[in-house]
Amino acid sequence: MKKIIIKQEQLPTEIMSTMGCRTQNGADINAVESFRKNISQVISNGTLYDDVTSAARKDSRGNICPVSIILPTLAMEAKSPAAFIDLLSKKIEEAKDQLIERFNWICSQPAAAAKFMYENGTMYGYKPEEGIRSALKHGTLAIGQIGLAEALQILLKCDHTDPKGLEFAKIIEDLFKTKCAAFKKAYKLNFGVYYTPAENLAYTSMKKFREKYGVIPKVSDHDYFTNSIHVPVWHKLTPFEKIDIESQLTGYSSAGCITYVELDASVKNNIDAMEELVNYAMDKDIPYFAVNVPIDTCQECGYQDDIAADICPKCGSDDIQRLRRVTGYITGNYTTAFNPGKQKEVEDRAKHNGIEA
Amino acid sequence: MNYGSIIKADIANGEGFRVSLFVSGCKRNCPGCFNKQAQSECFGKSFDDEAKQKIFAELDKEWCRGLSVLGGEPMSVLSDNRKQVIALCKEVKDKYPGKDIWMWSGYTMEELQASDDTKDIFKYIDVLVDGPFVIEKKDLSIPFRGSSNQRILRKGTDF
Repeated sequence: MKKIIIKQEQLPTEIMSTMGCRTQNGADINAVESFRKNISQVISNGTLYDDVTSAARKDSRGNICPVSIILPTLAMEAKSPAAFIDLLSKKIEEAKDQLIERFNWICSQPAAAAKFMYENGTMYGYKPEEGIRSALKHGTLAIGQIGLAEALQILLKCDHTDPKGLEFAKIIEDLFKTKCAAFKKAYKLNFGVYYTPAENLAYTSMKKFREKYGVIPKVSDHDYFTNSIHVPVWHKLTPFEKIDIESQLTGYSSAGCITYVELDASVKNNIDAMEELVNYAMDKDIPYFAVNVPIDTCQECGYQDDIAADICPKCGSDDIQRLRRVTGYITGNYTTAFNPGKQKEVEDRAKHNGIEA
Repeated sequence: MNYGSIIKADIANGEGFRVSLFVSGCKRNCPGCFNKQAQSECFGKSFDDEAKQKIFAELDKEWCRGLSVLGGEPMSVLSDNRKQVIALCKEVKDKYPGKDIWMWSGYTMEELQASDDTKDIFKYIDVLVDGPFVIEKKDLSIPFRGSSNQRILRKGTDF
């Protein structure tokens, strides 16, 4: 039998995830070493070097609270692209300092603060003699962002649906990536670039922005900032065009991202289309892909579809529950379950079918 | 011939992702018509070469499975729709033999086959969804159709 020889450089360092709430793309810096040693040792003599780290760990399982940077505010202060990069660089450093302070504070808690968790093996890597830091060091310190599209509008008068905007977007995201990678190495903690879901921040940050700068066309004329690096929801693109743009930015995120497309409810009759779309997203290396389909259910007769009218087309009832997915969550009626900013965002969403009238 | 809209990535009209063309003009005036505005042959814009190139640009894409032609009535005598749609379908089939064509018509397959003006369409289309919309037979649960009298007919099995 031929002996399999695996060289050190062939061992995995980056694990692509398949699923998860905010996908993780990076590898846990505090597990990678023992994982490598485990693989070498299993191959040479069938034993484990460290049975705690029996598998490679992704970073961001257990997010030690993200800090999100509101990009449009920085763009207003900076005014020019060059000044923006300088200012953002400083803010990323500040975010790192905040995260370290918070991490140290959390680590100063005794295990007794969450007794059940620590005594029942639910916290990966926990060694009582080392305190809870032994477990928490495997979590992620996430540096997030919101409103790339609006920041680009302020700086360049276009967003990243324009090649000029996309080019500068890559420079911005590369700065996040480079800095987080350096922090990860320097502090031996899992710093990562996070494409913040911002359920409430999308709305509250816009309120604050308007108080200071008022309503600026294409920047603050909606009731919410666009999430992370997303293409604004109102652009009438095909799903393929949206994936083409966002897939050029998702690779910069090591601590979580998601790409959505909005489809018509009739996709239920068209599994071929769904398969085509998912394959396309996977071919473009979208780490976490989600298809949103409106689900309206008549509470009288049970008819389920995308019901545009106020009444059920089958029985005429006006008692219709409207499920929508907002930043990963599918919650009750979106008209009551979400904040006003996110309700507006749902209403502004263009179906990604590329209609040209 | 005028058209109301082109949908570049349509999932509601036919299998897979498709480019859809909604032509204008239909004399049938079925009660409950889903696209009443398109009954007028003047609705929308002229189907010129620029519009045709838009369709070809989508058919060039790998993910695009084919063309769907809806209306209005693609086989209407209004604005010579029938002649123009047959010519378009021929051009698409010649240029893109690997892509399929779906067409929706208020005429039945038998009616279209019996007329010298329309029978050539069967050389080019792969799927015909036929028959008028009958509001008494409206059925929301059947894919790609509005009422239960309408049929999905396929080349090779039905024509």
